[in-house]
Amino acid sequence: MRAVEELSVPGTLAGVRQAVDAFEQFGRSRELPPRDAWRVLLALDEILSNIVRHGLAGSRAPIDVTFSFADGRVVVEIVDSAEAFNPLLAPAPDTSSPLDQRQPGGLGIALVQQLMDEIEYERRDERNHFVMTWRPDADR
Amino acid sequence: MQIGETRAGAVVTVAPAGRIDTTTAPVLEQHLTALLAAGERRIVVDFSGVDYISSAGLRVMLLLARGLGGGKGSLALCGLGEAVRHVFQLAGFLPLFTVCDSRDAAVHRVGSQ
Repeated sequence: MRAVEELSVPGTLAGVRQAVDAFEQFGRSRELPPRDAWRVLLALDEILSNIVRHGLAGSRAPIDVTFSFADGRVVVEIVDSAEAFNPLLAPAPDTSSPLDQRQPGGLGIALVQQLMDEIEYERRDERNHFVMTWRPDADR
Repeated sequence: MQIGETRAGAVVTVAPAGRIDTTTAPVLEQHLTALLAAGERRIVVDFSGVDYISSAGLRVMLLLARGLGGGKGSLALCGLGEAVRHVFQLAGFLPLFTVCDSRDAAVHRVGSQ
């Protein structure tokens, strides 16, 4: 069985929360393993807040989010109309310097890359398409 | 976000609950900034009620550690569940903090410095 949910949230921090809450609800109703569902909630928060803060730059343009769960794979697609921005090309974050020199920038994307099984970015029809896949039962 | 606060001698224990993410991290930041402004210098953060922490929350922890002068002795963390510990580890944050197994151990650690 394939379960799909589509929503459009405002490009604001309130919209980010709305999308995170919606996935939590989606996960519960589809009986995703709650032990690991936080990975998707965190990834949604990171990607969407990045779009709101840096991509949309205050324009509040809506962001389309689609969740699907089929064949043991959770796929989340995020589409926004901001300027082209490929988060996969962001520089690697600083994860080793001492406290006083540590820079927190870039950690969000790096966490998403490590917590999801696959992530893809594509610029299509003047929109950014970001797709992340998570297999709840995959061996890690 | 709910944030519990308990004092034992000179040690203040802060226990946020729920998610620490883009929308809640500013609330935690304000709470911790107020403690620093009030002169608190021995702080324990208990994560046992925290579901997960995003990069926004990691930033707040970094600011707290710096606000305490970077001395590991004046700040200890406890109650890190699987999700929180995993994120700290991925971000390379574990070496920056004193992490204790229990709240008692954390309070004792910062209280005895």
